[in-house]
Amino acid sequence: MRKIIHVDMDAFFASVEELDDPGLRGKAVIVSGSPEGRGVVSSASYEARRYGVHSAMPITRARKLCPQAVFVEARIERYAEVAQELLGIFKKYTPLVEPASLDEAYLDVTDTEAIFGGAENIGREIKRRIREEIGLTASIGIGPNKFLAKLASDLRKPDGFVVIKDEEKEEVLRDLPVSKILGVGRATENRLHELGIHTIGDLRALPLEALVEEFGRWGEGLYYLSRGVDESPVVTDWEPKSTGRSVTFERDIKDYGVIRRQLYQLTEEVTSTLRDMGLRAKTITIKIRYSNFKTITRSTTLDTPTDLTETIWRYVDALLRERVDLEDKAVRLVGVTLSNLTVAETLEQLHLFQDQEVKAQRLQEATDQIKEKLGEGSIKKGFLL
Amino acid sequence: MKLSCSSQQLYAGLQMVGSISATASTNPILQAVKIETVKEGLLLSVTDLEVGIQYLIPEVEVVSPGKAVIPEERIAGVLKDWGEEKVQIEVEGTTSRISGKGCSIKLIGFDPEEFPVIPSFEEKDYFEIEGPGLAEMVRRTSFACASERLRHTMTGVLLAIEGSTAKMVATDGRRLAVAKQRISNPHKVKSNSIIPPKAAHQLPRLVAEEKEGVKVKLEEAHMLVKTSKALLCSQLLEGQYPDYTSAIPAENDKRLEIAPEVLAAAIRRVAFITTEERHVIRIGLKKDTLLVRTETPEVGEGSIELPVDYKGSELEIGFNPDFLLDGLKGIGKEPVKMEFKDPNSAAVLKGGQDYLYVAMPIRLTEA
Repeated sequence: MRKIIHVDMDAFFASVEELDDPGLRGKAVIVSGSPEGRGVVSSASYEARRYGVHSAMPITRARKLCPQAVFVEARIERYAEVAQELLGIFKKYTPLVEPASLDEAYLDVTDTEAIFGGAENIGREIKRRIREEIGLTASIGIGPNKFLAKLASDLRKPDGFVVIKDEEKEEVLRDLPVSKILGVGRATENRLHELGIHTIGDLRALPLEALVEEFGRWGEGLYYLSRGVDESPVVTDWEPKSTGRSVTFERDIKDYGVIRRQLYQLTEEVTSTLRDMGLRAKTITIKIRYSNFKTITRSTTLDTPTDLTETIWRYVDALLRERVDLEDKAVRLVGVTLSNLTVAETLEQLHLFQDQEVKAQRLQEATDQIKEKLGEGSIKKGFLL
Repeated sequence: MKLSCSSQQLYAGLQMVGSISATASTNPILQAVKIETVKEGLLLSVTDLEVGIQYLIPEVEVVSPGKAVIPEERIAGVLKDWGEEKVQIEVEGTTSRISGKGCSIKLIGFDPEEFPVIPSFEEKDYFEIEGPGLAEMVRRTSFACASERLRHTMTGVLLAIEGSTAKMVATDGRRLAVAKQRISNPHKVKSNSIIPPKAAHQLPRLVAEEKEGVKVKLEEAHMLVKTSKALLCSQLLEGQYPDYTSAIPAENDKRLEIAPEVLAAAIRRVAFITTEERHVIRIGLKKDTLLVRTETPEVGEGSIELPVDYKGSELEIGFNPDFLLDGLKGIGKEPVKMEFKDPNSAAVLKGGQDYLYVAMPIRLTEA
């Protein structure tokens, strides 16, 4: 029997906003899509949900339902950053982690639960660490497959912790509405209602052939899911295609030095992530968003992939200097993305003028060690001071 | 100005100079060709301010001398399929009329006085080299230049002159090519100059066919190359070229000799089994055998055994196949002497006395 944990962050975007701005805590917080978005709610705090606000609702309607709410603009980069931290926690317990979106992930702990005293212990541990280390709450569901784990995490949101055991699954499912089945949308639900089927228990009464006739291949899925059977694996073989970070300034910036320093810090962060992942990057991209929201990206591709901060910084710096027009323009956001990533160790093209590369490598290792011991800000480049 | 000449010769001349016209430039005069009657014929000039080329068309019937600046792409386009017919060019002000039997084209050009000056070749402090030899040196080295602009000097080709030897060096930090050629150096020129990639690219075309000696002059910031028909003037790259001599290993003790085309064919075939992410082949050495092999997960594996005279100890070393193929191409037909040390050290390929190629391996760590 497999042991799957589903971690679902509670009102994720809104909670991150509350985390970053304590003034928002306890208030109805509504995160709207990015300024380019179509004006729908992308996340609402539980306070706002009490007024009937939910995601994907037009902002105008949300404003009517809950006029006292604080509306904030989504900061996807920030949420992605928190998602990375979450991933870091999950990976302490199993390498088999499948992030389903920024705010939820499946963990297959079948082979690792023994080490950590069982799946339930892992679940509680993760919940505690998310609260203590990140400051957010998550709902945890544990089950013998992905469907039941996700169902479990949804049963007592927010801050839930539900375990569905294999022997309980039919009972748990019996009285739940069919819409709780993963993949049952409005269309399937309506059709099932027409057939007089409302609960998952009702659905179980239909023979496989009838379901297949009605819904084709999806009918087969319904047949098994209604019995709590789901063989889909936790898919982990995602290769990160890129790693990037960006920062929005508190106010628009015209000062070249400030922009440059910020890019250096981002370069340090992304290259550190890169080294943690054991990867090297071949393509370096910087992103500049001007005050008028016009966004440009400038890239360069190296002959040989690298994970060295100083090497990548040389290119970032040159891209900024040579290929970004900053004249009379204020900048709102800057970002650095590394892509074209390859695994660091397996193949390494050696260099003729090894001295320079080796020196840079040693410097990097020393810097990383100092940071590990004394903290991130303990060693800095001169121009950052 | 009024003249007539062979349209084919003029078109061929435009082909020689035209490829550097700065199509990306915002200054339209840099996309134009200057034509000028001189004692020997008609002189064409094109420059993008970094590289300038002049080319002489002899056998021109000059009715009245003068000069004009005409958009290069347009006049070349007009002359492309002109046929056997002679072409007349008549210039009035900045407008040129190009005509032949029944055809008349007017092109609006520029004031010749505004055309940038291309320095002339003063006959002193130069050395002489055979044209085909110079072209060959460039061909055997320039492919190894770095493409990244940040390693500025390595994007160019180093030209080192000392005594009666010219040496050309190019490296991108992962491989290095050195070609040598004899020169006649009566002025005792001694120089280390870095030729920018654009000029290196133009040189072979201009000098390869030259029957007489090519004169080369290296100044502080410029290089001038003069043939009987053409003059190339290029800026030089500033900066320090890496100390390449220290990168050439002297003590590689595992040595063998092989026909370059045989090895290249084997590498090319095995390279088909690599992928872009895992672009690596292995060269294996054991008694009297050179093995070219690769294995690529999810693609397949391949190995080719080649008989060689080898008595040294066994070795397996990984390379980017392209780097070896480039070096073998530089060597040409002569047997290649290969020298290895260990899997993490540079390999040397030598072709005769005049060519040396160093390739850094890819470190093979079993994943």
